[in-house]
Amino acid sequence: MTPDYDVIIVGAGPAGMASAITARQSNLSVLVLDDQPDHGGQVWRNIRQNHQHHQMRAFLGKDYWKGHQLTKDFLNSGSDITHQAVVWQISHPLSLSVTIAGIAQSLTARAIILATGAYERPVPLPGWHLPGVMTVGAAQTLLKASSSGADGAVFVGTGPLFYLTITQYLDAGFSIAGVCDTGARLNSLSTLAALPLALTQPNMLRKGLSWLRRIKAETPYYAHVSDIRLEGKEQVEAVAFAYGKGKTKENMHIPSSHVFLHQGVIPNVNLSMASGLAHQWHHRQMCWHPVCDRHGASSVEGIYIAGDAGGIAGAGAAVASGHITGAAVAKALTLATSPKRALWQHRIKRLHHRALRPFLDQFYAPLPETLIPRDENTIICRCEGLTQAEVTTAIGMGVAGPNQLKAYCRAGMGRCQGRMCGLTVQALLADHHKTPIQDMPYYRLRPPVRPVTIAELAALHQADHDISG
Amino acid sequence: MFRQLDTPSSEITIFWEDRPLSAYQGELVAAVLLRHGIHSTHHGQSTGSRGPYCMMGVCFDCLVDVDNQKAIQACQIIANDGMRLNRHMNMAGTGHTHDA
Repeated sequence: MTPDYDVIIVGAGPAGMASAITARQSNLSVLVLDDQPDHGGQVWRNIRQNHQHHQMRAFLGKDYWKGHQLTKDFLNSGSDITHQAVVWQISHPLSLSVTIAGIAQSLTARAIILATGAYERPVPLPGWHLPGVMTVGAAQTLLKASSSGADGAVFVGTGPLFYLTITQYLDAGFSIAGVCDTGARLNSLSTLAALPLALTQPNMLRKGLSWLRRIKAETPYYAHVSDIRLEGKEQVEAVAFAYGKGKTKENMHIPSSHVFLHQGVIPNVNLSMASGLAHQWHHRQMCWHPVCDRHGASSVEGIYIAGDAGGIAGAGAAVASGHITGAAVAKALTLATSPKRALWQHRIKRLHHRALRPFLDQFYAPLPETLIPRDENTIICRCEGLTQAEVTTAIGMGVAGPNQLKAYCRAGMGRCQGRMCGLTVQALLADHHKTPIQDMPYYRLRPPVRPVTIAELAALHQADHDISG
Repeated sequence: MFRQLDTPSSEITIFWEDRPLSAYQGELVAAVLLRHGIHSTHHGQSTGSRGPYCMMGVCFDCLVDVDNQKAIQACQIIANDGMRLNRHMNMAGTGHTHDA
């Protein structure tokens, strides 16, 4: 049977769009499936509509508007694009199950590119489950998708997205009640060792420094923040924390009904893990990522990875990586080679963007108390409402790994399928057993990777039956 | 409370527990709720009150009931004129079962 498409790409962010453009240059038929309402991914979310109002929405900043050209090229590439399409399974030989407008269907391809991007590292602090507590990325999404922001919010965290979003908030004219900086630790040898490579990208470093200078000048800014608690009954009412170093450490309490958290981003691996791709632990980024070669080919033939889904490097690197992977797929399917010059330009761009990353990873490393929560009442598994005490009690009963833990306390068995507790559970288990973190496995994930109704499944089997019958 | 800087498209009305809320065409349902001060969208017996956290479809904490459908992620759907929304109640012992 002829496959439905030469290439199916999952995700219409920077990497997905770039790989579609390059694959189409070799005349391959391309379908892009994206779960959001429009293309752009998280970084260039809602760019089509925002661009029509770009004077009013200048606060989104230069890097945001850079995405406009790529999205235009993407729309003109001749790719088929379907939004609000939820991919929940990949089977072998290459076929993919997807729900579009409530109807499940199965599609086949000669190659699949996973460009599923990243999401923010869960931040299990006391009270992080309270309504009103959101991620910094969520606050930024509301700016991009709805031109909305909250006055008097408190930002808690660290990392490039943290400073960028605060700067956008300032430019948009929202008042900020506090910036609690948990990062920027220039105190380890490995951070210093990563500095020379980072210095090859002075413009990117300068941009980061100018954000920080401005935030310090224009907001109530607290450095070296730790011991964070989000307080409130039915919703968040205040943030309590300590700031400063050593003997100068002081306690602070800021009332607010909006708190935004950020501790960096991690690859979105649920689909690649459930599809049986080999994964490895990234020591510096402290997360799992699929094993792939420099073209994006994964351990499973015909499945490729592009962009941050393969390891965090940012939007610029994701675009380059998308073009490189698109060209590799075109070469594999048609034996056509992309123009060498263009390919080298993408490789060089990717190198540039990656040069800063080791430094960023060390400098903005997650706060230890968010990696291994010590407070007993902190929610670990949001879906099941499980506290640190409940999870550690189960672990203490002799649980060896994350899969066994599911049977003891249901951690990771809710709707989010471990996205919000997987890394924390892995860290708590490794801590208890005194095992290096990379030797403690992640949850074993299985399809469907998104909740699917029985009616959807029944309709899918009926459709298969109709085809084969 | 979240406030909007500009309203670029035509206004529509959606309903939260029978209360009319103004929204604009193309807006995410979770964004509309937050702008009207509704932070808690779902309640579970084992989890208590929850609301939008990630705004990108990974945390499943912004669940609402939409018209006749239960447990829909409010951050993943676009507001339609006349849409009727209700708090999603999950009174089972776990976050997983009996709510679809």
